[in-house]
Amino acid sequence: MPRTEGLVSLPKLMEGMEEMMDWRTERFSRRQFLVAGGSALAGSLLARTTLADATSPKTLVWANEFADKRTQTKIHQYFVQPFARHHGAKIQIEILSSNLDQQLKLLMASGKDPDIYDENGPSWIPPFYDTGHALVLDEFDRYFHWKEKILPWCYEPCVYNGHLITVPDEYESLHLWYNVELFHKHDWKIPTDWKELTALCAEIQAKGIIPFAFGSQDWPPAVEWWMSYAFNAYVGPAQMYQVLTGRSKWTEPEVAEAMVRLKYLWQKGWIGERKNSALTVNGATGQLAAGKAAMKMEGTWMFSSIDTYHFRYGVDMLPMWNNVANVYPIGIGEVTSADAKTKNRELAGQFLNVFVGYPALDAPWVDQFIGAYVPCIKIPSDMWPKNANPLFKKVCLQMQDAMAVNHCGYLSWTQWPAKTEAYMWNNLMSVWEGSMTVQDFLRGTQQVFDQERKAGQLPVVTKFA
Amino acid sequence: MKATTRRMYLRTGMGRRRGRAVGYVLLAPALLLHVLVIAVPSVLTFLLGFYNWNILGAPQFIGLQNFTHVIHDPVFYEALSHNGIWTVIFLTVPVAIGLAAAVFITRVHRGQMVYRILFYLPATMASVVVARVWQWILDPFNGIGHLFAHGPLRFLDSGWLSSPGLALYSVASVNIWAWWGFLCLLFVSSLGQIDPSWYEAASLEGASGWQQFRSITLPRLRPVLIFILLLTMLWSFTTFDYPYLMTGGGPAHASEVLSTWIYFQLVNSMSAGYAAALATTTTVLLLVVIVGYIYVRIKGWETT
Repeated sequence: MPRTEGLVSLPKLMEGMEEMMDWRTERFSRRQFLVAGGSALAGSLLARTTLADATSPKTLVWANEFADKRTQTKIHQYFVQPFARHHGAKIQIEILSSNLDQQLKLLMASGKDPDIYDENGPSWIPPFYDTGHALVLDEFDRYFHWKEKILPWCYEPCVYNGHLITVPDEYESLHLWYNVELFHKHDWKIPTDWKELTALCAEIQAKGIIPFAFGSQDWPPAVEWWMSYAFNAYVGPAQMYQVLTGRSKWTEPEVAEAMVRLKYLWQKGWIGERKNSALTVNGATGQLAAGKAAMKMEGTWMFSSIDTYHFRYGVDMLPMWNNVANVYPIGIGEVTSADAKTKNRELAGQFLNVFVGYPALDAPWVDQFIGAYVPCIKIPSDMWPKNANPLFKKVCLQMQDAMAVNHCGYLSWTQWPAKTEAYMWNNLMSVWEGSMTVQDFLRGTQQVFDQERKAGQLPVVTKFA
Repeated sequence: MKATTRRMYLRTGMGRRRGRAVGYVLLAPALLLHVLVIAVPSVLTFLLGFYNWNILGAPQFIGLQNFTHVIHDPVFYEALSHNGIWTVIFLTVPVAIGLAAAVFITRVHRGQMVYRILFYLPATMASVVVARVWQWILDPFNGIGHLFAHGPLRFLDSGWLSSPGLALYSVASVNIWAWWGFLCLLFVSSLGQIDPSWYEAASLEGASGWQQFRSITLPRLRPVLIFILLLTMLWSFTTFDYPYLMTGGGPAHASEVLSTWIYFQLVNSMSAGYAAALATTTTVLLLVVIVGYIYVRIKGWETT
């Protein structure tokens, strides 16, 4: 519609009003006044709407979970503003901070679908696809050559029923974080196997220090970090691949033994003194920083906040518990999808392309979003920003090397089907506390897994070993 | 119309009908509101119990599967037993504390209002605030336990919210802390309505304090006591805020109550149909309490 049409209509309406309102003869009736007033209001609204339609840029609503001002400022600086400038579009951010998945689903259930949304991992997206809330991205995949650019193990779990339904925008791995000063003071060494791990935990506990800081009060699913670690450390990726693809059972002795050993660590009080339900995730990091705990098992996402604690920390590989090769349990920590109901599909596709990682190569992007957004592409060593956190850079490059030789493991929020994952983290504390046996836990897991397998809801799992 | 004429008119058949009609018309807005916000959602919740619905897609009819699942759900029974424990605790502890405090308050002649305000104050605070403050107090690493870890009060150094054996009782204690002042105020109001001459007469007859309490105070308090007990039972079965805010039902479902389990199924598992089946089952259980109350009313036990 021509932009001037609305502007022309308003004076005409005013002329009409003047004709009707003959003040001198006082022949202006109440009905005429109401009609004229209503017409003027409707006209002006129409004019405003028409004008707005013609001049407003296209708007994309992006639902993400980063509520802190620092990250939002960076998001505006590195994502929103460059994209908006380049495409003449407007990005409106909807912050869903307390529980991304819940809030997103409630938002959609109320009919307020965002155009773009973040989620906790690829296994969280199939329910959105099945209900018409995830756009099939195959067309953009072909156009932008995402399949060639994205690391294969990151790309594959994003494919569901033969279609790409989300893009990964961050990968992560579980690590052993430790308080360097405590380790130096007591001459402790990083454990490399089960025997060394248990011996060190006993020694640390004997000194009145918590071996592993751990809190899950504000994020109960955090218990699955330990579960994923246990499976990789004892069962190993080769057999876990068999389990995750349904070729082997969750009730296999090795799988059960991994849970038994994890329960042992927890019951000994080595993991958060068995008080993780009453401590937050950040509270546990505070214990590590204050020297009240010697180690913490957490993912690379901790790089985004650990420097605010101001202490000397180290990061290393987690010890294995069995005769399995040392692996990095890797997974996708965040994915971004487009809603199938978006009215700006093309723009949405272009926005998703931002996450595939190009800005990382020509901007200090990786360092700015350290631990929050890590492009799932291969970033050569010489392309890293000069001021990048050296530990983060080292860890990322080690992960990339491990990926190159398939020395990787699995994380439950990436390679587990959604309901199986939820069942496991929801019942793991019952196993640790002893109110549920390991056998019952695994039988229940197998039951849920079989249902999802039957429904065709297993994610694509990359074979690492 | 004069009052006498109006009374005569209302005695006629037409007058009575018109009087009833006016009553129904005046009740209509409240009834409509009730139908919209209580009856319709209740019926929909009941019907939803027969569907599998993940909130995002279209609901699928699955018959009685959700209800069968409720019967076989161990967490449901665990939550139900916790609601039972919660009810017993709240029927006794805050009622006893509130009543005792109320009796003492009525005997204080100077500064009675100060006590009333002080005791009632926690009941005016938002449950979110109370829960958060007590979480800090009971924090195992920085709270009261940590403070007394090496002294004679080292028993306070416990996992109040993290130990399965303690979590439910810790949460209930915090809720009692915020609740008993309200009951105390109700009792104080009721005690104020008892004619002091009854006590004077009893004293003259040589009745002891306990005898006066048992024979005068308690029977006079019966209506408010029955009311409090009924409300306590209903609220105990629908309690949500403190268990959800302080432990989320954990650890290992140790403080799970029916409402937190329903919430988990609805919001975390996105199993709206199963959550509806759980809610319907809870309502049926509450009906038992309501029927009990109706029985009490028929028997006239709630009157003095």
